[in-house]
Amino acid sequence: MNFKNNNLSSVFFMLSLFFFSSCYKDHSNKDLAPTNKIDVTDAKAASQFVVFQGDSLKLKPTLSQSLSNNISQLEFTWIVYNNNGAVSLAAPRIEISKDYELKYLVKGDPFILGEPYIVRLGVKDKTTGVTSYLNYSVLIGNKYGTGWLVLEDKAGKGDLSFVFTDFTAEHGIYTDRNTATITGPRKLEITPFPVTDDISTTGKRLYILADNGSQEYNYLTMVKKFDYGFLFFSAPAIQNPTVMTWTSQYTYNGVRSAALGVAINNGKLHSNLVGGFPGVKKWGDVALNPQGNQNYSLAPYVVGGETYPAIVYDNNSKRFYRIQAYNPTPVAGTLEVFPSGSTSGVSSVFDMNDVGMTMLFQDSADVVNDYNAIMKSADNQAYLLRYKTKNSATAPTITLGKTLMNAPGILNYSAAAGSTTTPHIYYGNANILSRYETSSNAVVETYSFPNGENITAIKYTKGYYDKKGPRLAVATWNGSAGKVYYFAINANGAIGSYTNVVPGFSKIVDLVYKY
Amino acid sequence: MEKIIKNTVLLFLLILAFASCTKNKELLFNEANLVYVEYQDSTDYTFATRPAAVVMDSIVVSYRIIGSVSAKDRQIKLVPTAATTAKAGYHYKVGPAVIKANEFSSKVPIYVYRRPGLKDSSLVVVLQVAENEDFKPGFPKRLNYKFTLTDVLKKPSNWETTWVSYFGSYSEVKFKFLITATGKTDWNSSPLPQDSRYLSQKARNALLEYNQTYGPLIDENGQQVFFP
Repeated sequence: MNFKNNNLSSVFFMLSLFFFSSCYKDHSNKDLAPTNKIDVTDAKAASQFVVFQGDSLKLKPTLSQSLSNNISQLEFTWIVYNNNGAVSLAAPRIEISKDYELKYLVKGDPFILGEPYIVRLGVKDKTTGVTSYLNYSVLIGNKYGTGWLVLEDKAGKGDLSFVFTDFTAEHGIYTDRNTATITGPRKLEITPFPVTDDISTTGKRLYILADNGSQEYNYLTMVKKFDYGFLFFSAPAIQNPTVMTWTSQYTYNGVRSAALGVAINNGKLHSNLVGGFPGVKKWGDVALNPQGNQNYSLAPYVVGGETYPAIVYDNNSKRFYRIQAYNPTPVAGTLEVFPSGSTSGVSSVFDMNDVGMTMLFQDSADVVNDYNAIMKSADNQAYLLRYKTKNSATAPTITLGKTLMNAPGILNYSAAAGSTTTPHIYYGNANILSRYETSSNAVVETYSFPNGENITAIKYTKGYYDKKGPRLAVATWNGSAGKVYYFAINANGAIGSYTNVVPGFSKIVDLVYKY
Repeated sequence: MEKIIKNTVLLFLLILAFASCTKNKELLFNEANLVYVEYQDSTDYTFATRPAAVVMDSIVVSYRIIGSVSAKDRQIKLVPTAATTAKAGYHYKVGPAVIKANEFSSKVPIYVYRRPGLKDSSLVVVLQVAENEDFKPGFPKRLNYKFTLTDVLKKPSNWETTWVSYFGSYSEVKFKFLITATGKTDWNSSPLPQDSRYLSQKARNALLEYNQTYGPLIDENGQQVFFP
């Protein structure tokens, strides 16, 4: 009996071990059979690229398999979805092809002009069911995506031309597609990074400022979107715009993000706030100064950076003010003084809160976050003020320099642009283009256009499409015809001779490089 | 006997062991559909912030279901509790309370009426989700929606948490001025950043203009109205 019991106990014990051992999770991979690994690659997938509407989107990734050469066992699926950050993650996924190589005509649905998309290839091994993916980032553009947009004054009425990257031009673009008249064109404002204001689709913004107000236009088609007043919570009673732009505090994945909208109308500040929260964002009411009144008149320039999202200059009290971006306090959106005092004061070589001069011009300098301002003193002297928009608690000073300028004709300049690669400011006076060097405080080069051909606008662009160095675009007007001259600026900032000239314009009042 | 016991134990363990290998049933929701108040569960409504011409308005309440969508529209049953002092059909009326086909939530309008008695009194309405053929009540703590109804200007319930930093201490004169200057009628909800910035700017400019035109604005306490 005991023997039988012992046998039973042993059987019971063995069975128990067997069953419990079945509960042990097998961590080994010794018995796993290798599967066919599919690899899809394409250098085009490394960064976003532009496809024009009406063109074919052609994609042919490189395909490799670890265990097979048989392409018939693979299933290809191309899908596309909108990658706009403002669109829900549940944006519909639309299948556009089942072929290995994609050839798809970009026209109408699902592609919308100006919108970013992810085009995704899925390659499924029908034997194992394993799928490999490759994402392409595609922006739907048109021929006006890259080049120079030119604002002209045709007997008091505004019109647009476009200079393509091959220096051919298309004229009459504004009047070709808009019915509203621009009276007294003043300035082009573009925002080269997307803005999410929940008024219209997230994207870059284009505004045309004029004597009779301003309008917002589609960045790519240049068709009018909104009147000036519509862009405000309460339309200003007087429409006299000089600035309408967005500053950026931060960069995400190489793309700057909008933080604070700044509009200067009739010398008064209106601000706009974006940043991921819901609701329609429009420009607000007139900001008050620290004294609680509207007795100020802002110069038509605004700069912004990481510490100070917006800095403006009051030509009445002759001083700088700062504007906060998001801040849950009542002063956010008003003009505020700069910190002063021995520990947190930002001023050293000049006082941001008490400059005592009139601002004539301001633009970016050759160091990121640094800006050059050309000022006129009470005794008609030109001064160069240099300051920055980023500081720290341990190094609070933002004023960098104050120089009595040795720049003939600067007080009567007709157009100017700052270099962002070398220490120079290019300015025009009559038919003379001068290169003022901020580091040596001297005009180091001049270029003369024909007599009577006077400079009306200058723009400098650092990141030109051909990546062969910066370009300077100079617009001239001889009383009957306008031209744009292009100079390839060398590493030292030298102007040299122009490389291209594009004629056929009316009087050019402004131009911007779109990219 | 001992052998029988051991065999029984062995058999039991074997059954138990194999039973443990049974595949789990899929955990699918298979209960009756429930409905509950989705967001904010109360508000204070006053006609006093609206122009005199406004005699009717609506409060919108969000309801959400627990369970699956349906191919047909489904009714939500809302009944006033004993705490309700307003008269249904006279002071208020519940609009279409329907979860539409293939939807998980619905915004139900509650119409409120500007009656003379509201000039000097404040009434309460508590609407509770009740069971009907379409839904059972959902989360027990999310079944009631309560609102007060009056035509008396009342200090917003969130003044001390939301508006005090923009407009300072409360006074009735200040509040009336804010309503007139900004046109805002609902002061009981938290504003979005762009809205609070605009309201602050608009109110300051209006007060600046008022003071320049008429002299300082004085409130019912004899204090000059100002914004910090």
